Amino acid sequence: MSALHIGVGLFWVLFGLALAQQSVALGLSGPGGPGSGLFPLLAAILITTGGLGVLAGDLRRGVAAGPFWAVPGAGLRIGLLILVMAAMILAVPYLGFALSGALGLPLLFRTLSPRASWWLALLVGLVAATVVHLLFAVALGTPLPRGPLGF
Amino acid sequence: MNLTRRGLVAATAMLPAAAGAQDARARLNALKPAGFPREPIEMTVVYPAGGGMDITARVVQRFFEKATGERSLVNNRTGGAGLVGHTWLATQAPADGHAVGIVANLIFSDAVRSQGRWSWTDLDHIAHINAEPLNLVVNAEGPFRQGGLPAILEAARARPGTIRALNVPGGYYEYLIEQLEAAAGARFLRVPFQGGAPGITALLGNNIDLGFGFFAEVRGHLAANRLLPIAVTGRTRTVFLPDTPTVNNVTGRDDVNWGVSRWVAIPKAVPADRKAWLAAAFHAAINDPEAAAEFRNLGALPDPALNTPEALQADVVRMAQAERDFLIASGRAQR
Amino acid sequence: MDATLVALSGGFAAILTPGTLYYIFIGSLIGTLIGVLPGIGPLAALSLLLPATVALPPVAAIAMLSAIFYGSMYGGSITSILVNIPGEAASVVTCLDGHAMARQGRAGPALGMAALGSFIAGTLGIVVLTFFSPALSVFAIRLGPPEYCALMVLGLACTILMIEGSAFKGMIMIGLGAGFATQGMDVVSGEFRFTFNSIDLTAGIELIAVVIGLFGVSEILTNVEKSEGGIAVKTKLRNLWPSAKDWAASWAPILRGSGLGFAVGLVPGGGPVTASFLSYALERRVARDPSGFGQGRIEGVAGPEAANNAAVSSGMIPLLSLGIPGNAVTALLMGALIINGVQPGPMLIVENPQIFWGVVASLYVGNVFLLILNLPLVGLWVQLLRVPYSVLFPTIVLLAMVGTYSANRNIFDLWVMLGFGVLGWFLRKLDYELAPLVLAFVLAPLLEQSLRQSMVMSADGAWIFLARPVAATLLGLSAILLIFVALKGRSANNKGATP
Repeated sequence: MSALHIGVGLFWVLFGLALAQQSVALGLSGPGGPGSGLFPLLAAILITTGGLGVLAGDLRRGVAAGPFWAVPGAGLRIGLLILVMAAMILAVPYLGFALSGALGLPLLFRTLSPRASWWLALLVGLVAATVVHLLFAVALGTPLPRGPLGF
Repeated sequence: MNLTRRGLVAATAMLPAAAGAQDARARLNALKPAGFPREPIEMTVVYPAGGGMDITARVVQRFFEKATGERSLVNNRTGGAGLVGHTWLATQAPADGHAVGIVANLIFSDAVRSQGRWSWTDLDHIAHINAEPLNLVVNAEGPFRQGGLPAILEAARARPGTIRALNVPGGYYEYLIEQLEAAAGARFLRVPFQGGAPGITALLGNNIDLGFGFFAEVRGHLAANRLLPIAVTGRTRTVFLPDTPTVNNVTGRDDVNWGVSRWVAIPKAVPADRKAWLAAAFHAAINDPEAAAEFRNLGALPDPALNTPEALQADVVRMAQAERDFLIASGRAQR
Repeated sequence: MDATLVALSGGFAAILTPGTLYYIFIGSLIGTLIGVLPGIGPLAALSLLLPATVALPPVAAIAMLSAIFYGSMYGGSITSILVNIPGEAASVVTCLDGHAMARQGRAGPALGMAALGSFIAGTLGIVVLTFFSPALSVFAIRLGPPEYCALMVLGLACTILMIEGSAFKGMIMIGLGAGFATQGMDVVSGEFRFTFNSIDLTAGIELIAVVIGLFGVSEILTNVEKSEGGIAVKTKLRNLWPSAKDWAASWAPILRGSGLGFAVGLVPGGGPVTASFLSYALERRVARDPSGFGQGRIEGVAGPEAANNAAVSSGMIPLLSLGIPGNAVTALLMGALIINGVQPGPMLIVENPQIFWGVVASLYVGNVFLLILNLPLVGLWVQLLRVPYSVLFPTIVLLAMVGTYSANRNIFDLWVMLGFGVLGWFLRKLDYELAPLVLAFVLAPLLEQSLRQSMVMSADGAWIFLARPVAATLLGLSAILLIFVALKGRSANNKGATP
């Protein structure tokens, strides 16, 4: 874990410096007052200083090493969740929310309850997607992207 | 009472329909292509809900539904001060006739800001809605309550860089200030704001000296004698403020003609028959006498000369050219 | 005073008809629902329902739309407390102590106190509005960029107070929040910052996407990581209602929250979100024993919930008295007035007193409806906890996606939501606090804009802040606050030895 902490600390410092450079490029003063780059620069200073402080603290005291994943199998679950959500977002412009939800939700459900049956997962997905669709598209009238089936 | 859109359409359909209206509907139906529209016509407004463009669009939408009996809705695609919505309209909007834009001459500067991604020529401009000038206003209890525009120009000339004027960078407010400065040999202190409305708020508190606003924005304050109108930016005086001179009257030149002009635009690729029906439908909606009364209430009037798509198209070209000329003359753009 | 009461009773007479009451009720119901649903907020809901109000008489239309606005401040706390996912940006801080209370089996008192605090604060705010509108609007109108800037500085100083753990980590979070906020268009110069030639990035980063991602998606990821089915919240409740001890602890935060929220809501740009954060920081600061904040102190629920409702009430003052919109929602309400043929402005109360007082009366009635709607339903909402997380979380994901999409109808916002979700999960693992990031994200742009406007306006540069009494006072307060913090440390309960 300590390598991770050092890495993160370094990242802040480097990110802050990069942001600072971009801010200066934007221009620090403009007609009559501060320019576009001033506030990004202030933010960059905060990030860099904070990063240095965190880095120094971690290096000085050392960080209690422990496994990154609290529970075995957590990494897989997290990875799957993120992937399914990303896939859903990709699918929405083509399939609409209802269909993407009906397809993606069973996968999410199964990730959280690996021992449940696929039928239950599909049912949960279908019901949830229908309820959400009725709530937003029908009751509230939100204009949502439509899928091939027209909803 | 039914709150859904169907309920609303039903309610408006119950408004007394004169025989003339039946005729108009019949004419529209004759033009309507088969199987169209399949879904509600989406009218895109690139500014936030509740603002001037949005209110105009909603009036248009109501009368569109009244004239055609078809469903429609107003969609606000905000972001980047209009750039996101205009870009969507010009590049991504479906060309099946269901997507329509309620746009204004502010689209020209967004086309420039898009850096070549699209141009206002990617759209067909089919129906003129209305137009109105900008009103120059001062605080009725402020230091410039007497003397009108000449006094404030004189002050800006005598004490350059001290008279605080409302500026919204990158748009007509900025061009206007430049022209005023050029005409009077003056220099204003340009205080930047996100839009006209926050600037008017600042003017009410005497935090700035000179503000610009559209009639709907300032009307309440004019009526309450909090603000005084000192000039308007059109070529002629407006009927809403008959005693207020135009900027050109005061400066003795004739180069100030900034205002807002609103019209309906659709993607170029929409099939011709759908385009024709849409043009006729919007034309019928906007020319409804009740619609005209509502626009009047909002301080904007239609220009009768722009009653056909061809006339509108020519006017759009003219406005775009005039703006481009100004940009070149002021050194903002290359020839 | 008498004239006001007479006018107000006229307003009540105008709205106590079955038709108008029905619409106030519908607005309250929809508002609560909007608050519960993560992502979709009052602005999106009002935009959607605006056309439906055209057919209504003006008072009913504005009453309904307003009810949606303050109703969402009631509903937002429900998901915050039950599942640690905020329904509204103004309910983010309620997650901190509210959910901790739920984990201890005290979801009922948390929900109940949130509703009661909201009601008391909302009503108090409307009472002040009723009697002091004219004087307050005169004061509010004189505030200009220097005053706003000073107020934002004070707000940011309070943010520093909120930081519990490592100061350096807090700095990074504030810097990140402020940095993310600069992305997009710079309103002062019209230039684009960090848009990398993408049109989508010109719109900047949407607050709703940040909040739902940072607190909603990350919460789900964090929970799922720790155990397969998610961590169960105690459903066996000790009791459903706030106890006498809860009341003893909460009455002062509610009053403080009301006052603070009212003041913050009065200023353009300030609003329920800022009010809730500042109230939380205030309660942390004034508590005799600050230990336990973040672990289930009811003050951390009562104060912020009161503040966000009070801010809505005071936000109505510039709109009704002056015709000036202070935020996007009141701007929309102004548009609704215009569409309904009513001219907002200082003359509204003179030309259309029945509309002015009708709307004010509807605010009272709406708050009562909301209390009735929310309190008895506490038991029902708590049953939501019985739903297994494997069903609840995916549903929330879909709700969050649709809700976030509804803000701008831009798929890009969904990527922002997911991105901030992963970021939030990662940061939480490494012990970074997320609340300061959100507060900086909200305050920094307002601070920047008003600072730069002030500098342009001023002939003497930064001296303008000292030349204007209100600004100078606020800045003085901020300085005192910061000196206090530097000398005495941030709180008696400094978590860990990390500096």
